[in-house]
Amino acid sequence: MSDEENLTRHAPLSPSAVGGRLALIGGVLFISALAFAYAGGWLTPDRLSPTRMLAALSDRGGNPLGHRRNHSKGICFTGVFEANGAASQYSIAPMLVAGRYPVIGRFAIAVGNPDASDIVGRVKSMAVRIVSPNGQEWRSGMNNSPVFVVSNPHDFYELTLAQDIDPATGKPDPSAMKRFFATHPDSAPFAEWSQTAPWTASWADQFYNGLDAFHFIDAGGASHLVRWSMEPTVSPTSVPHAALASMGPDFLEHDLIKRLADGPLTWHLVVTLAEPGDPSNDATKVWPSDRKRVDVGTLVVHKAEAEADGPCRDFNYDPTILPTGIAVSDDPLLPARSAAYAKSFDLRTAEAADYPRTPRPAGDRP
Amino acid sequence: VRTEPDRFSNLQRVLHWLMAIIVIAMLFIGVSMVSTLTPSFLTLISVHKPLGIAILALAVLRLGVRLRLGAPPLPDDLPWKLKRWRQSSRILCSMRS
Repeated sequence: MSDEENLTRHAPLSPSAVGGRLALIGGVLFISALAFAYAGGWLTPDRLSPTRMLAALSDRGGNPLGHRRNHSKGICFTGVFEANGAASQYSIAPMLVAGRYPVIGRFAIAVGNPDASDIVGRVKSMAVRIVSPNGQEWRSGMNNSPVFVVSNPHDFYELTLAQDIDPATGKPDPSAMKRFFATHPDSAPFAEWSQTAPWTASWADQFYNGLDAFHFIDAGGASHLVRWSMEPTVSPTSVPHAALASMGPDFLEHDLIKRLADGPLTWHLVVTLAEPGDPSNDATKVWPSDRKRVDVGTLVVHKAEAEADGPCRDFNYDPTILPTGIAVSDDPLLPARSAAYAKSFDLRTAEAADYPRTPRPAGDRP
Repeated sequence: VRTEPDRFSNLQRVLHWLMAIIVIAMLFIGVSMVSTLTPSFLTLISVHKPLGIAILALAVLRLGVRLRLGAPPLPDDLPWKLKRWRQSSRILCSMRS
């Protein structure tokens, strides 16, 4: 190293030059910190974040620690999806090729309280995870309502706030829900279903609708806008709401176990193909009833297991986890569900001690 | 014993600054991703995952380049504690192998 270079490196700076350089470094750090804070939402506390959404969902009674923060009360099931191949002309998804594919699923009711009585479960749900031999997965969470209650995450947040427990009464404010529906006309189709659809005492006799729209991608790369439903093979038995009250808090689980003891339960997976103009981004609107519907296979449910030790416990039924051949649409609920489910998964897996598994007998350990 | 080079090679400099950009981008992408429910969530996560794998691959490449090309000596005016740092990380690395 030459003397000249040494001199340059060690030339003392004047105090003002040092101050200027420190200010420059500080300025860069400050702006970076500000940009980082903006990116993380700390400068915009009104932004609807997964954390805020999950806080609202968690505040609907009961102790949700360790549980899913929505559809908190449920039961695991295992079974098989038997594809008939009819969907292969619309999608190259490997589990739509004729064949049998294992399924781990979950039945639930759309409540925030994992200890709720089944009578409050107006919305029942089915979640499935269908796995292909090459390891691809199709996860879907479906509800028994024909439409979703809102079209976007912000309205869902407002709806959730309307269900929050008032600490003074221990119950939600009864007028809050009325106010929500009065101010959200898009929610009217759901409200009508909710008020008029017959109640049943079973998960087995319900339609489960994917609600959000998706794209099927065929072998030629063409995209088909679709929605899908699981259609039951058990005809519904209407039970007056008042009669459900005498059936105990867990009648859905008892019904399911009783039915499965007699044999498997089946649903037909039916795909509806959109016509031009059918909304892809609004799950509050049904598509016209004359749309082409294709029965693409049968879901066969063999076995139910309590969630605490069941195979569905640690799956996140994120509807954006899709195989090749199926893609998300521009429905704003899909990214919101993905982000919120991920937060719920992080919370409940960190709280696993609050939702203990059944201890196994000492001799039973592998 | 290999002689220490005067300066980091161009390849090492490119790797260093490329990784610096990616790591800082990852911090921003990560913190944005977990704070939003908008459609950008899916876009951000689809960038976050391959970028994370890219950092791992670049780190492995960087280690290989470092073992092959070495590094210049630390500046004479660096406090001795910082010099120890490099020595101790060498010791740690040699203990692992």
